[in-house]
Amino acid sequence: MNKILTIAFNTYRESIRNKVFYIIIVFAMFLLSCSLILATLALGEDDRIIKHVGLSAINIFGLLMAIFVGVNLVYDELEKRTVYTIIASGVKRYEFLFGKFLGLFFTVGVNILIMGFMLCLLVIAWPDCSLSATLVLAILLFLLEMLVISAIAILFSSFSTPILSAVLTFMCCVIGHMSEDLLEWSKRLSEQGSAVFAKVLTVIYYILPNLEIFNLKNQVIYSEDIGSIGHHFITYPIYAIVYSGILMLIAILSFSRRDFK
Amino acid sequence: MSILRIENLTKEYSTGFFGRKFRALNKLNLEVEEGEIFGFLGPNGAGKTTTIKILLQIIFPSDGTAWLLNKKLGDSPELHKIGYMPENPYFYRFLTGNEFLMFYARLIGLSYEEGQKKTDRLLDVVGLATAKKTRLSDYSKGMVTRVGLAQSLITDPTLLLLDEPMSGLDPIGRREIRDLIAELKEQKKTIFFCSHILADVEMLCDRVAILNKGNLIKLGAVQDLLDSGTKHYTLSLDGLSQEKIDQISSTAIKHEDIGGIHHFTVANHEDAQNIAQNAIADNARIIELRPERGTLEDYFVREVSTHE
Repeated sequence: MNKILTIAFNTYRESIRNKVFYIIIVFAMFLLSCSLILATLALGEDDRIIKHVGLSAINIFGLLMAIFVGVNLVYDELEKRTVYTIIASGVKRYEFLFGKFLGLFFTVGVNILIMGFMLCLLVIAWPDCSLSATLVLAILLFLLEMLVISAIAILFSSFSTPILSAVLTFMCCVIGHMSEDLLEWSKRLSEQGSAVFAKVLTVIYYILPNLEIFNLKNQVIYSEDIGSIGHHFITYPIYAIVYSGILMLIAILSFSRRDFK
Repeated sequence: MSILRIENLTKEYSTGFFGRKFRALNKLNLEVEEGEIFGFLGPNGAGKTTTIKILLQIIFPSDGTAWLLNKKLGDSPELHKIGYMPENPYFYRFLTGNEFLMFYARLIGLSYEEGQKKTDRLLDVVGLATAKKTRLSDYSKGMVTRVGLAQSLITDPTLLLLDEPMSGLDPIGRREIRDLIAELKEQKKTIFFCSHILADVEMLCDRVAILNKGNLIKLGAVQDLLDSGTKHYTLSLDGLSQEKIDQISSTAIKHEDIGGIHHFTVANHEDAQNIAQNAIADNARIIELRPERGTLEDYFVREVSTHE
């Protein structure tokens, strides 16, 4: 475990010393500032606009960070051969990959928590806004989404180039947010007699993650009661951990017998 | 006792669209004894780095196996007792020298205090104590090589695998690394190293193996290999009578008179010895008796050319 944590911490340190990290943070702050400007323009809608723009910014920048930092992590180690001396130090390949994954999640998680904290402060400070438990839960659920996205990015990064990994991870994220639509579409196709396409969509639905379950934006904006889905706050973390675990297992299997060039 | 034993080690790669097989290493067999400096030589693409990568399980062999510190490859070898420095090391540029070594110290399970102690000592050994807080991105190539060597020593290894440790260094840097390797030998470390700088290999190594296109073409002690390449003997004499000069000239391959000192080149050791005895009997003075043998570089070029 010590080796995994050492690699995770080093990955985190690499990310925070990478200028891209700061650019993303600055952009997030910029977007939060935009929400303030928009809020002053839309009279009486301050609360909704600040929360909507703020949560969207956290989600988008968290996603961008997970993708752009994640897809380069393993690839760079192999390309620059920094992995050689690590493996030669007696670190197992699964320890290396898992350390990279934890480091990425920690980097993205810290970023999301900082942005979330800033949003909460803004909501508290703004006269017509109120901080709700739903808002805090929405931010915490983003962490679970990032856990899954980090695992997807590491999986692709372990066997393909950064550009391809970024495209594939982004596609998984987009489709993952349309998961319920896929099922609906599959049902319609089935009713229309296109059984094969319906089956394909059903398979995609079950293979790709359902990221929309981690999205509480509407509930936050419209101050909906989340009591009815309250029990899912136990199942959602389990879903995220198991799904990420399976992805990491696949990544480790493909990584463990691979020749590093 | 063998610290490293390689048996029939073979590595094949698939190349091109149709996956044509390319054999990078062909049934390599060799043993490295404890405490020796072993030079692993060969032109580019000979299979040297491939061999090291297999030993460290960075890549996997197609056939054959190896024993490192008496553990078979794949049987959880004691990698923590092996130090490795890759060719053209590229390390984490965002770390300082101190952080870089601490990272490896933590990887091998040292506590923070132990790691820091060891890091300070090694930075001192490789002459980077003053640059411990400088990021590797600001290090010169020589400094990166030295910190790489320090990294390979962090485990206090029994066996050191060094891949081109002198590559890209200036003469002073090369000398420093050479002295450090010689110092490690005194500490009874076994060093297995690849290098293209054959003058250094000749100075440092006890034995060498020469590899070409994946095949082992020569293996032996440096001195034996050089002796086998001895061509002539040169004998320099002073105070010879004209009669003796004529007599020796008739058996010598070459005769030169430089400032009254006669330099004779003879074909073999026996001839040189006979001439020397004759000269002493003639009250002449022997200035020098020297075998004219090629350098390791000459030997290497000759061997590789004949196996092309």
